[in-house]
Amino acid sequence: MSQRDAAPDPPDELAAAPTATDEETIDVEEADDEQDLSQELSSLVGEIPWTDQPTEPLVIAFAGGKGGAGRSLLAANVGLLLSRLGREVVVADLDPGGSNLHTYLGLEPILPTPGSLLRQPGPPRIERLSGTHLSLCRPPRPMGTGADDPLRAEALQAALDTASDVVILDLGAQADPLTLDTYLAADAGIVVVLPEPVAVERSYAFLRAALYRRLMHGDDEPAVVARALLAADQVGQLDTPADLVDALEGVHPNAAAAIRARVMAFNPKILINKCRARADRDMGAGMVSAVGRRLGINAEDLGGVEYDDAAWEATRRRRPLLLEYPGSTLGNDVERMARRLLALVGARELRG
Amino acid sequence: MHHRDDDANLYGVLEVDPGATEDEIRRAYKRLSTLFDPNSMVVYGLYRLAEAQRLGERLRLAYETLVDPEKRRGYDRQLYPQGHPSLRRADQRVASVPPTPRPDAPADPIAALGLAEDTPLTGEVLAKVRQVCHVTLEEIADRTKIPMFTLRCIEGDQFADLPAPVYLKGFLKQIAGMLNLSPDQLVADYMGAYSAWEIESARNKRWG
Repeated sequence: MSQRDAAPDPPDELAAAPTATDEETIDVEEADDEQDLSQELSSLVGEIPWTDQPTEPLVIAFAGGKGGAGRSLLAANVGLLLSRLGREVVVADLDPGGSNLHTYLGLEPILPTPGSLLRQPGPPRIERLSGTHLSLCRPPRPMGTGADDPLRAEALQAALDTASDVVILDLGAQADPLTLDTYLAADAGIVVVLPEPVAVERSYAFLRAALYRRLMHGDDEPAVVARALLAADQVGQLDTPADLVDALEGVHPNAAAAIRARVMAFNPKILINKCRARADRDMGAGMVSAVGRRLGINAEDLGGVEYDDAAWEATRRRRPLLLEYPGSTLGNDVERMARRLLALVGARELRG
Repeated sequence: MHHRDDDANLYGVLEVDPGATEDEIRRAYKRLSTLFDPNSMVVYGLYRLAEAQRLGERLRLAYETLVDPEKRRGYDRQLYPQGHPSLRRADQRVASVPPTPRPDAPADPIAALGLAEDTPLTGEVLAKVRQVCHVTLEEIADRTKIPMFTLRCIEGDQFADLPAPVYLKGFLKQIAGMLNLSPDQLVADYMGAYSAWEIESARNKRWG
């Protein structure tokens, strides 16, 4: 089955032909542009060695940064984009602070009954966005209203069990253990950053937490030795992963090698959202350099996404951005970012 | 990973090759001094203020030494008493000869080994190619100045012990030159396996 055959039927809104003659020319041009880009993207997705019976879906996680960084909007629209290229996609709402993925997809919120806050509220809900290959998976009641970790874990499992090609996770801005473990397990973990100090600082805090969890969580020997060493370091001499590896070198060379390999294999993706200036778009590359130098992390730059009122407009109408404003700067940036992400992940899949 | 050893010499501090041109050094300093300026947003929450200031000082010192030809020569003599490892500097270009295969090496070592043309060039294949080209590891180390340990790790596919990809690629190209292999193909194949290992180790450690 070719990519084109697999493409989903366009949603009604896109198929609706304009009636007024004076608008027709413009609309046709826009449709042409969009088709070009779609074809280009289709051919790119075609290069990725998807197997006919995927054993495991490609898992993309959006995390980190701070509230309002745009994770949900990006997760929803990247999901929509990949689904329009014929891939079966599920986006999962795993934000412990209670995200609003449904709003960005134009689906209804779940209004909890008082009873559902007290009882076990039942299984996760999976809902398909009509006319697409995209489903939303979410816990059966809004998060942030109780002991949510089991509900989030169930929703994660349900999303992975859907036999989709792609699973996109909206993890929220927190760095709790479940979020970190989920982030680390994803094929591509994206940290969404805003070009402002608070978001940058929060993003580094998230990356540090994720890195040290990767290095030291668990009962395997390297983790245990590393934890013991850090616990003994009361003056804070072991400030960076390189310090830790150096110190381990002396007492336990195998643990040092294992920890070094874990640092090197941690490849978070950095995305700068709501860029207003040229320099904002270059910030991702700068952050990649900086975390490389300071933490030894091989991060990857996903580039910038423009600040665009289209996001605000689309969200206010509770309509998916890519359907509401297909040719917007933001829409194009989202497509570009998705393309870069697929290229990065695709290259990996090819080799792995 | 970036290691403190990477900062052990001034080239490492500026993240440039020891053969970098003056222009490359200027550009590297401009980029890094802007990036790691204590007021830069990019270091906020990553470096303590005093650390960012110290890093700024180190960058400045490295730049001032390397951008001045006189000081750089003095520094190179101190750093490389055996001679500069780079082939790129104009004043050394005449003196140094790029690594070449032995005259009795087969023109197509892959075919000589009876392997398929598209056999991926892993460490194991590389060791066989080296033998069929009648070259010892010591000879490669001598000609290229690549440490013996690194050469052994390359042939043993001991990825965890290899240097940063940027150096590794340079080493591979030099090795290819001595073994009648296509440098581009060796880099593509070997770095492919290297990345696969990175992913593999990431996957194995997926859940912490």
